Amino acid sequence: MTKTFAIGGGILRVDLTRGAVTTEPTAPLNARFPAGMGVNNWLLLNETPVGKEPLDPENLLIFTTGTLVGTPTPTACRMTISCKNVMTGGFGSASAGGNFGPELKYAGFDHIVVTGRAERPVFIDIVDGDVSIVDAGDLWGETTWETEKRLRAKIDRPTLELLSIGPAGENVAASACIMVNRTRAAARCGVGAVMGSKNLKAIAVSGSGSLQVADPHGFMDACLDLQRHLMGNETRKNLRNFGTPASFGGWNDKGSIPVRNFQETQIDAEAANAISTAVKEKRYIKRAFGCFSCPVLCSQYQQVKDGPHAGTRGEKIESQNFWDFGGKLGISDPAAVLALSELCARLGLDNTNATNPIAWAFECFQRGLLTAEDADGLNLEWGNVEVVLELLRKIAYREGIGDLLADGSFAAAKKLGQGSERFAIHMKGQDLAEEMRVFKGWALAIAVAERGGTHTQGGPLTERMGLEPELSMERFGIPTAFDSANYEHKAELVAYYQRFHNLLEIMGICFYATYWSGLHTMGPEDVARLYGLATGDKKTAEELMMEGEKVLYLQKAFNMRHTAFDRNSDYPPERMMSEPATGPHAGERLDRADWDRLLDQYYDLRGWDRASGKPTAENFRAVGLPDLIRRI
Amino acid sequence: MPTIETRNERCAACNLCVLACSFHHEKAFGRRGASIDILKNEREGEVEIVILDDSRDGRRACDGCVNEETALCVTWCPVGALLAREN
Repeated sequence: MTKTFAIGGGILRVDLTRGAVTTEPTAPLNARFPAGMGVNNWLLLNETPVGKEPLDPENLLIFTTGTLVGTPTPTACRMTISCKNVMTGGFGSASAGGNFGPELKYAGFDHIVVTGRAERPVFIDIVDGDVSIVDAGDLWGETTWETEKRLRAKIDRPTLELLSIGPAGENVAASACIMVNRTRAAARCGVGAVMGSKNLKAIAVSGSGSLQVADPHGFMDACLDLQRHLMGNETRKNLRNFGTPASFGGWNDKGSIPVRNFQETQIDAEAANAISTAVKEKRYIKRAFGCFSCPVLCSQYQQVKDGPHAGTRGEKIESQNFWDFGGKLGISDPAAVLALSELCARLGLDNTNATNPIAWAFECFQRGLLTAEDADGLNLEWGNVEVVLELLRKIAYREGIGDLLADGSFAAAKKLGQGSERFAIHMKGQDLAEEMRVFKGWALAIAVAERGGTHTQGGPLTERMGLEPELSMERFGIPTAFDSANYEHKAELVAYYQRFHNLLEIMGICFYATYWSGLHTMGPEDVARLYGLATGDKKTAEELMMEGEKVLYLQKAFNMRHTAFDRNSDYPPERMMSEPATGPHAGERLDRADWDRLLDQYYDLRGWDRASGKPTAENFRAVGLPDLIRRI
Repeated sequence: MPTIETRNERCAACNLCVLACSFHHEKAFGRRGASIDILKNEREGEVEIVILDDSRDGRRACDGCVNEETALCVTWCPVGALLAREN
């Protein structure tokens, strides 16, 4: 069916080489996919040329809002940005919250497809259907925060939302992100570098339109019910009070933090206490904010008022910031973690993809493979905040050793050699955020993720919940969803969350409002109910979960077409299998024989070929993509 | 008709009031259809809630949610940043 409810209505195409702007309706493609991520991934698959490097001007950079974005669906604000992955050469995507997605839909667009490369730096300015490509020579070289400030001074409109890259994107660092205003980041896969490679500094959008839904009163009642339900949930209250750093202590207690480049898995009690105490005391928190349409409010505005990092401020510090700086680099001062996070936001750097190569360099220094002389005179010592601040800057500007580190640990290790490849902790070429040894389902999802090393494409959090097997059977139809050490049935659990995560990305709903981060939140049935009321398309939860499955196949197809990924690409870094965890699960590691079996089960579940890890033509047909295999 | 009072210091800038307001006026969702603007200063971590008392620039003034049981923005605000005061 053709859907006209809830969507913005158009696909905006901007060819920066020709300076051409065209639009087309979203509806024909919506007939095939429930908008959002499905359409995005379909366009990326069909239109990305084969044999071009990720930073080739012919490649696409697609900005997409979710189907329910811009409505009062709790947390439906997300946008997904996809491209050919700078770090893996395969499928790439990054997601961000904030207000840009809703504003884009109010301007009448569900997607922006950017191709080509502008001769000079430009930004795209969208005012409803009026789209222009504007010179950005005066903004080039500026940080994301300065860019935001200048564009707001320059553009006087009642509502204005912005995306921009910083120096990291301009210098095509693989760790470059795209910032939404000042505080939200679309971070992984080098999306900022792709934007920089197109000489595209920013996108501004103002939308004066509105979105209709099929059953306005029914939809409002359902949204308000869910909002109230979410607000009464204890885990959501924690998120509102402390943000996601509230979970840092729990991850560390379970010995599942990447420490000193994943050499250990638990930080020492003193360092953990310093971080947890600051979080519990809300030492740096001024107040809580939400993204558009979000009642969870996990984004704390933080400021450091005294000490060496006084003046630091910003929003949306995640538990992952503490993994990246506190764990991987050994920095225990929470104020320093905030300062480093602020610098990443300003420079337009993804914390994870920037800190992994630094951690790799620190380990190489520890083992005598790199010297201070190699590192522009810097002593690459664990926990040295000043050195990390300097290295982040060097990465963003590709100065000295920063040029080596800017392409990620996998590429840096290939250049240095000398066995340093072992210390490059990546999946399919992309730097890794997550420790994998303790939680087996978590590890599987990260290892097989099509975009390369991420827990946001199927990583179950259930293994941290410590609940009863009976509940596991009731909710997931398997006995082991809450059992971290058990490999059995984890393929099924991961498949469930792969579909669910993709479904949430299709809709633009934040994971933190859902079954992913707590069982008493929004599940597939809730999503189906809201989707039906909003669009009039009465799909069941199962049918929508299969739309999530279809998205996985689109990503798989992209990787089959553009990479040589096979079964071997789905094995974790050697360190996770040969070096044991520390902390409460000391000795735990991923066992190769168990992993072999787990991968067999994962492929068998869908009938994929065990030897190659690839779907068959019949598999593609079964998920409703019969013509796809011919295109690969 | 009630007047909507604002507490800027409580506002989380989630814009749920804006969506509820545009629903009241238009049975649709958008920012320009609402009589509320949420002006967030991300640099300072501050918010100003602006209730439109007069129609201007093609936008409707707040009507205190006439014909609704309660003011929708007040009902939808998750942090108590809006209050309806009967005149």
